[in-house]
Amino acid sequence: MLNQDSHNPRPHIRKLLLRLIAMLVVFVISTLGVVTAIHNYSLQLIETSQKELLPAIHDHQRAALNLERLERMGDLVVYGGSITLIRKNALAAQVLAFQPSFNLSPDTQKTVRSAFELLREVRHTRQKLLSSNGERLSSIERQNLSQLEQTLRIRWGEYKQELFELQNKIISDATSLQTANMSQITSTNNLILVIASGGVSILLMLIFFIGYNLYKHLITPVIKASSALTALEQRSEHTPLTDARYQELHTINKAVNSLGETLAKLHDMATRDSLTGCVNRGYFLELAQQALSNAHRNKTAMALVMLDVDHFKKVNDQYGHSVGDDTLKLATKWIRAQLPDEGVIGRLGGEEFALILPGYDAVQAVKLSDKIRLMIANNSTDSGTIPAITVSLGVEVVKSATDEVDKLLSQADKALYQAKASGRNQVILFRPTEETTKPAPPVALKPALPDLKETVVHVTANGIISSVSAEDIKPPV
Amino acid sequence: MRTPKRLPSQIKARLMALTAIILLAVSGMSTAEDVIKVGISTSFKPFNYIDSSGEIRGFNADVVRAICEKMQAKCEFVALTFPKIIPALERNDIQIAASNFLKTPERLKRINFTDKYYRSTTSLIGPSEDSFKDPAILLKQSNLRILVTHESAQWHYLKRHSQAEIISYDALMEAMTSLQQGKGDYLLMPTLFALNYLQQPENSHLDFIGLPIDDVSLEGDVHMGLTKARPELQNQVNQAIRQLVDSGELRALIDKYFPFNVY
Repeated sequence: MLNQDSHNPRPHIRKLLLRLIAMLVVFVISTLGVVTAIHNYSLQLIETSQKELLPAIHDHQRAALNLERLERMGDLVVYGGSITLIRKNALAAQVLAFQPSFNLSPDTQKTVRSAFELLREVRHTRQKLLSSNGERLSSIERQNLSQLEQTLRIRWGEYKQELFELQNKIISDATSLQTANMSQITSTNNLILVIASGGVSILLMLIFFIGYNLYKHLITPVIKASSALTALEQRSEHTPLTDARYQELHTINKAVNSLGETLAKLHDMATRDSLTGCVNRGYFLELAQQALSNAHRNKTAMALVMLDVDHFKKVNDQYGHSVGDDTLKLATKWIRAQLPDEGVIGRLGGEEFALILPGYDAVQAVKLSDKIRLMIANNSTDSGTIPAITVSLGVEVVKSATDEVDKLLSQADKALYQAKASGRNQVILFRPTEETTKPAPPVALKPALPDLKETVVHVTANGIISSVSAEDIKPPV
Repeated sequence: MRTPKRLPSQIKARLMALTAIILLAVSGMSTAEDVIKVGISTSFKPFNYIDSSGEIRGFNADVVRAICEKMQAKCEFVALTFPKIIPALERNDIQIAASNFLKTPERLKRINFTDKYYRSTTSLIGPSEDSFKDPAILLKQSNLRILVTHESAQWHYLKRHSQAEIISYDALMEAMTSLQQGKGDYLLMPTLFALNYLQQPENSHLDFIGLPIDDVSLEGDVHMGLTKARPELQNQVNQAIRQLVDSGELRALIDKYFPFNVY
């Protein structure tokens, strides 16, 4: 067994636990790792939005405000009444139009710069019109300039519309930047939530798996072993424990199984006669008591039979003890073959045996006893290995609910004594004397012995009450 | 009789003097540690100049004061001409320079930069009758004299790209005066600085020449310079600038000096 174990080493429970714990730890750590990584990513997003996106949004807002200022400056250039005002605003518009803050997109840059080109033309035209030199202009020149001024004003109106739309676009760009940023952060947080809840679900599954493993490999074997032990203690039947997966439980199962076997062996040794395998005197009395209690309880019949090998001492003396032993063994084997399933044979001592026959009334018991008697006589004659023997049997049946094992046995013994006294190789049913019990027909084929208070009945195998003379009995050869 | 009385009073006086010296030394040491010296040129109204009461004023001065306030640091102005500012930063004579620096690879080797505090371009200015001329063509004419601040990004640009004669000045105002006096034909300078100057009615004979010059080395983010000897200042000043941007204080300062948002 040791060899077997070393060839097929079983894992230890510690290994199971370590493996389950390792799984748990690895899982928890990896889940935490993933969540932390995503959390860091989310933090990074927030930081990016603060460091880059937020300034970008502010840039857009500034650009939108500057566009508004450009429009105001443009208005003053286009409609302003004094050269100084026009010049001042035109200069500012020029600087503003080329401010790097409009480098948001090529479109913005282009629109703003072409708006500035127009303003420069307006400034030039209007400066000419408004300057002191203007008075020197001819009326046609003045008219042309005024006309140009009108055209430029109309174009400025269009540009203003364009600038206004650009402004709206920049503001909506800023808004969408903000929205995109927010939705990115939100989706990252959602991802964290999904992964965390997924992790929790997997964790629950893992815990279930661990529980299942513990239940299967630890708890179930322990429960089985414990119920097997309980069965052993109560001496009831149990199926032998099967192999367990883990070493410790396997050891327990093996121990329980071998304990069961040992207990059974010990019980046999304590209750059975080692030579014949019959139950010994003590256990026979116990079983007889149980059978009697059952008979009383169920109000069923029951018979006790005492059996003795006739002249057994002679067998021992003539053929030696080993033949004597064989004789007893074979005799009990033949008797056992005749016994009903619930019948019990006990060896009360030397060549003296007793039978418990639950459910048997007097006639059945006498019949069976005679069958046994005949068979032993015939079989032993035919056997060749043992000498021909005969047996005498005394039968007693339960008659009242107050009958006790001791009394029944002693009465069967009395019948046996009677059989012996009447010449052996016969069956005698115990009959109480008239003093003790009333009716009991005194069917004695042989006159009762003067010193006996009871009458005995001699029954043949046919159930016919007859007398057998002692001379008919074959003496042991 | 007098001698024994005088002795303790002498000791007392000496002790007091000693205490005063120690206190002075300690306070002197602590202030020396805390004071940040800010290099600034004072030659160009209204961005950095000294007013009648002798105080340094202007956009750069206001921004740097706000930064120092945010940093809870004590700042002290050191007036320097522009060409002297980078050497002073290198020597750690000054720690911050509020001097409208454009970031260039050459300067990065010598000093640290803060984040931007405004954005600008570069323009050529000259007589208003030339305002429709193309500065790119003008700069290629070897018979022209271009005025510029010495060591400025504009100066470096001219040295690389212009065939015209370059006349440089330590202070922008000197270059401006020279232009007024006809000592040069055109002046190359930061557009935003020029705007205020040109907007003055008395300067109506001057104007931007063409459009701002399109060159990466002449436009974009404008930074303050920092000494490399105090690397921790970079983060502190940047944080202060961020706070000023976020709180709108920088915008208020910008509105005070410029007709639109220059950040």
